Amino acid sequence: MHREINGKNHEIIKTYLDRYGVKFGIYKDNTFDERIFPFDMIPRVIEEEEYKILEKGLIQRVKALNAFLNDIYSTQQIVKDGIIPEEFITSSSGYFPQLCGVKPVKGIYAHISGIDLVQGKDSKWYVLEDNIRVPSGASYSVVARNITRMAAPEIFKDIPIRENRHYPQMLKEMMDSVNTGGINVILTPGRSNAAFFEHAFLAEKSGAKLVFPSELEVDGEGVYFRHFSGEKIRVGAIYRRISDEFLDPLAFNPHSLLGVPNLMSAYHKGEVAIVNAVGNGVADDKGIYYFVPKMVEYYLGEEPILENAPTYLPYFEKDMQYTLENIDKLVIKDVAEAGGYGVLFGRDLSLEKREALIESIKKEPRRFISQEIIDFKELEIISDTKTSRKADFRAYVVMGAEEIHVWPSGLTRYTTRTDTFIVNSSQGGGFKDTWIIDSQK
Amino acid sequence: MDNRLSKINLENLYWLGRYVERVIITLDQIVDTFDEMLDKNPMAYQVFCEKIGITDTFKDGDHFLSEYILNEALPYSMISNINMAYQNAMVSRDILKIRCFGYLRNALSVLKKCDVTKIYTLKEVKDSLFAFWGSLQEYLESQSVYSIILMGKYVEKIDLGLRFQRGDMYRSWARLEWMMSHFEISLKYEEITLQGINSLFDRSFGES
Repeated sequence: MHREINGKNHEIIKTYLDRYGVKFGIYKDNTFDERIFPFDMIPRVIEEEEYKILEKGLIQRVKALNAFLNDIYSTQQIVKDGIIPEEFITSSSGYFPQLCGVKPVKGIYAHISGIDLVQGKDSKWYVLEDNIRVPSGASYSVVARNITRMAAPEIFKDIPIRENRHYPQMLKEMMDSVNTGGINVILTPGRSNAAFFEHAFLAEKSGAKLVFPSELEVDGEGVYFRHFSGEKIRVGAIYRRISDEFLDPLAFNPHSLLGVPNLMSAYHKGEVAIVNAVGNGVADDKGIYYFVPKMVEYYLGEEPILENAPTYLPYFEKDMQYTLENIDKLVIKDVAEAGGYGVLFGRDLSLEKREALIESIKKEPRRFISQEIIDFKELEIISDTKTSRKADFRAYVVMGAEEIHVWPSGLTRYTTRTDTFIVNSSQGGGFKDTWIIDSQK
Repeated sequence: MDNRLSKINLENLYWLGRYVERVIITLDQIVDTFDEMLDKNPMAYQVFCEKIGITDTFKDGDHFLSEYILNEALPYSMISNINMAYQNAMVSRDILKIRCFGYLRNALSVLKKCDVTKIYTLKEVKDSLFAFWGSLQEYLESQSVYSIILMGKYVEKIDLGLRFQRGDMYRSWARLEWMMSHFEISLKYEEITLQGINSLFDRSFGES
């Protein structure tokens, strides 16, 4: 690795990350704490040639997911054709039957997708999860890149690294393309949200107005931002960083204090674009994940470019048998959980917990998936000694009304501990920048 | 007037200005108090407490300094004030820009590492806060935003100027009056009190 990637520069970068308030919030024992997101200066490097394949595969996958959402909230042809059992749709907590027949602006559901991949030791990439509700994290790499360029400029003179700092511009262009006439806003649930840093950062850099729920109101059919003078300013696109359930207390959770009353009514009438669309949870359900390669074939008539990690659905008898017989070598995931929670490695469970898990799987097969454990590649991290850690890769795909792009970078998360595969920031993981490099140049 | 400011923004920006200036002025006063405690009156901190309106529960001058500067549990401490400024800035980040925000964050980090037995180490906090004021003037695109923060600053200068009999209070008063007329904030002269100005920036401002 380049000589400028060293402990000294690493310290400078950490100081700047603190200075810019690059933090994420974490709730532990009912208290909110804000931490610096650990950053490691050694990037994940992806060669341009390899990236091009990933790019194609990611675009293909997101197009299929978007087609699936259009289908599920209209005719549900994929169910009628027997590709996906109906139960997988209706039992998904992210599925809202009341949204059937509601078309988001220009048919875009998956405006921003965060696709989590890992690279096996054989260098093969596997998709682990599709995040198409409110995927977070892109801003961390943008800030890290900015700071790294200042701390170690020689690297950027010597190595042809693809620019990644235009992510907020990609976001702006996408929002403009679906905007129904009005300003773009980023709707944050508030200061204590784990990703508040990102909400504020993206607002500043994309030119969207950062708004809190009480600053929006639905008047007549439109959504408006309340200016302090009392004037109402029309909103055309909302990049919401609030879960579906809390978006509108009149449509979903009546106890939500985070939502905007009647927002869904304006959305139904096509008066405002909501980014990402409401109801996307059905497509990033861990059970539905199993069917994504089939969606690619079904909707696009193409061979899937990216593979899923080998996955089994205990819902199917054959897969149930395999899961129970091989539980020690599988990872079991609860489809209702996220953020690295509800992930159990069979080999790590006590006999008692193992039995309890087996009982749960038998009782509620739809609630679980099982996967082969992929011994994914470790990446080197800066440490006193040469050390490496497990790392995943979140790629971001931004889909507007006319164009779909993969952001030529991503968020590489690594485990800070040696005894875990879980990389999530909420579980103590750190992050790295991701460099797409064209060595031919 | 900036067409993208909400009532919440207004309130946060105004209080941002107040808290930043509060730290700067009390920092000056603390340095003066420390100086007096060194060779004239070891109990001089009690005068500071009285002027700022806090109860003297401190064992001695050293205890006062460490508590007043660094105890995050005390709502009136310097670190709490700078933290309040930081919180108001945090929720206004889309307006403030990352470059301005960085100086404030830096002031907070420096204060946390400050050694209260070496009072000169506080100077770096003040440097960062002055840099913050400068960055606002340099980088803020919206004159309205800048002016609202400045209104908070001048109100704080007047408030603490009255308490510590500081000479710059009158200049701040004149600037504040000019700003209020610039913003067409119509208060009758006799109604212009600190409380009255604060009330302009609570969330009922502009309610029609």
